Amino acid sequence: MNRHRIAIITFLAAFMVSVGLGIGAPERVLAQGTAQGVSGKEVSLGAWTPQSGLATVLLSISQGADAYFRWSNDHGGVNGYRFKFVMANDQYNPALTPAAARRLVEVDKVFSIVTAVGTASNVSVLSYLSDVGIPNIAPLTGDPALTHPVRKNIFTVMPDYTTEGAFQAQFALDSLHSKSLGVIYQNDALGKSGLDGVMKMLAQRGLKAATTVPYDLGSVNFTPMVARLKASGADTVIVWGSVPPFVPILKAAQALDYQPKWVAYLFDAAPAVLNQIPPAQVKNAYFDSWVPLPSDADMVAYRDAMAKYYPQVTSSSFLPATGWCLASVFASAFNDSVAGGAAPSWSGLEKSLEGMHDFSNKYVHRLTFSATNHQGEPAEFVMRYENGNFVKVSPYLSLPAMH
Amino acid sequence: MLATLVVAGLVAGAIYALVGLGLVIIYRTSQVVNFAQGDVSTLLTFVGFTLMTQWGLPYLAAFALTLLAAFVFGAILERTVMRPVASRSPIVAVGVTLGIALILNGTSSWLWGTQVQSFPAPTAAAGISVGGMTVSGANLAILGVLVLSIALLVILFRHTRIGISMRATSEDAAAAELMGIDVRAMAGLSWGMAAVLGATAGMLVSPAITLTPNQLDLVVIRSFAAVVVGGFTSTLGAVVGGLFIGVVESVVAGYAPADLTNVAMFAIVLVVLVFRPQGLLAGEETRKGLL
Repeated sequence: MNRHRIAIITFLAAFMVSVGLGIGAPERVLAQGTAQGVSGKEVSLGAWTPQSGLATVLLSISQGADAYFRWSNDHGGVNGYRFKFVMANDQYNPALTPAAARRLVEVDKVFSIVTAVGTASNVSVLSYLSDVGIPNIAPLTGDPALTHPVRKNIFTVMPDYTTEGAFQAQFALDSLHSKSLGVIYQNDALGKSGLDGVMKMLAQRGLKAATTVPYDLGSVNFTPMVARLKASGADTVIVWGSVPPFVPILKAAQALDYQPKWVAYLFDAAPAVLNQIPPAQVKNAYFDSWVPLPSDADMVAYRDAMAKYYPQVTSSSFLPATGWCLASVFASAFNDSVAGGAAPSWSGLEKSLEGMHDFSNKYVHRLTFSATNHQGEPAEFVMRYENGNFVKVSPYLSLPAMH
Repeated sequence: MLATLVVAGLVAGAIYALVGLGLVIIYRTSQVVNFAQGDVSTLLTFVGFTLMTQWGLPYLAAFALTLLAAFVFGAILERTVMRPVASRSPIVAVGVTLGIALILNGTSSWLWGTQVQSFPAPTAAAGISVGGMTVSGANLAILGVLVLSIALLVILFRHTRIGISMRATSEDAAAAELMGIDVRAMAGLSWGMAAVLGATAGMLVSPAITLTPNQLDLVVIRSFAAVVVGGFTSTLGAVVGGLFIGVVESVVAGYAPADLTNVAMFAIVLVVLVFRPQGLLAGEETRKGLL
């Protein structure tokens, strides 16, 4: 028998044995029970995140979450349990997310997915995670598909983008007294979800947008888009997209001598971003957020932890702060689920989350889940950037019901 | 508004042209389509960023040092990574450039982080006003640097021994070698020049947008479109194609239904590919004594 035949037979034998053992099969994960990823008092958690590729700017979200778990460990853990946070690189590419998710679930055998990054990435593994049954807690996406309809294992904290877009439009109309509302949005699922919310809110009021203008991520010329906004006469512009384009959009407005009020979401509210924009534009910019100001007194542990574990990451950014706050929700639910000596389990974790009603800690506000609602954050505040500091210009305001 | 859109398009097109020039120069001397051009440019832009923010150098000094580093980096890349695969199938070389792109992207993320960085501007000059339209100092600088780059390339290719040797290599490498030209050195030179052009584009565009490890991804796609339109074998074509794509993109985005910008641009590319697959200006460079 030659070497090739031996190799082929060995491979086939190994394959059949692995099939028999169920290696790589999600059903086996189910059959093992619901406490995989727990070894003594150590709990493995995981998230896919862009460690390379087009959206590496979002990696700091996972670093914020990791900082939370490391900080927790350094302070005795949660109810005696310590966390190990595993990141899998999917490059923000939904084609790569299934492999990253399977690695976390079946190789690293994490107890739960926590703060997994990306709208398309999360959507790409919706069925797989539901089939396995593993909890996916506080994913970094506002795609309504994750929580509408409710899925047993998925709990989102941040508002979905449609709701957030509607909230921004509501704020522009009611608080900024906008008479003519324009939208500039990234031409992808992220931007279009936000646009959808804006348009629904306008429709509810019997209004129409002055104009809606898309752009491609990575563009270097925003003059045409901003010129269209100016020509439309929009006195307020809602910006929906990733962080980097926010700068050239407002710079283009300055070059065109166009000074509307701007409304954008919290990730644009980074000092490194805002310091590049002409002050005349920044003073007209408003940002909605459910994440507390990174400079708040309550966020001192966050700032200290980031300085200790990720000194190269700017802690004044809302991105790592978001990861931190999301991780805190998991920790709170986990703490409740193992109270009284109960063993960690998926069902226990889900029951604890569904029991959260008007739950607040230093990092989230009035979080509410139930058996019929797995989207938790019900309110946001609005802020501005003044003299190098973020200043709240509204209290927490209830989000409009859009579903 | 049309004039404003055309000027904005020319500025964007100048960036596409600079990156596209690098693509063409490498292709002419090495027959390699370099998919790493964007990531080479970005990494070198981060070098310039460090020179300014960590070493405290003014923009112009950092710019000059970055271009020097770019040339050395490009030449080393050719000597250590590309030359060993030069005799293999072209698809192997293309695969290697994709690998380089991934490695450099990861290196940029690792060394400088993934957050949005603020890149210092070359000039705070107010610019000039023409007919009620203001062209900023930064935009004038971008257009000026493109003109200067073209002038330097014309001088190099028409009036210097090295430039003429590069032209000879691009026309017929075997014959050039028989004439005593070191064709491998010419390849190294072209990679160095391409890196310089890419770094120039990165240093010029970053103050206007932001600096991230992926900032030039779309620029490279536009630059590929530019060299396809102008001619993948023509430096002149890269410039004209870059400016053409930039202006078309800008004017279409300003007037046509917004979703049609990419449709219009790539429809033009398709039409060129169907009716003149060698590009609009292929062949002109030989007649004009360019690469």
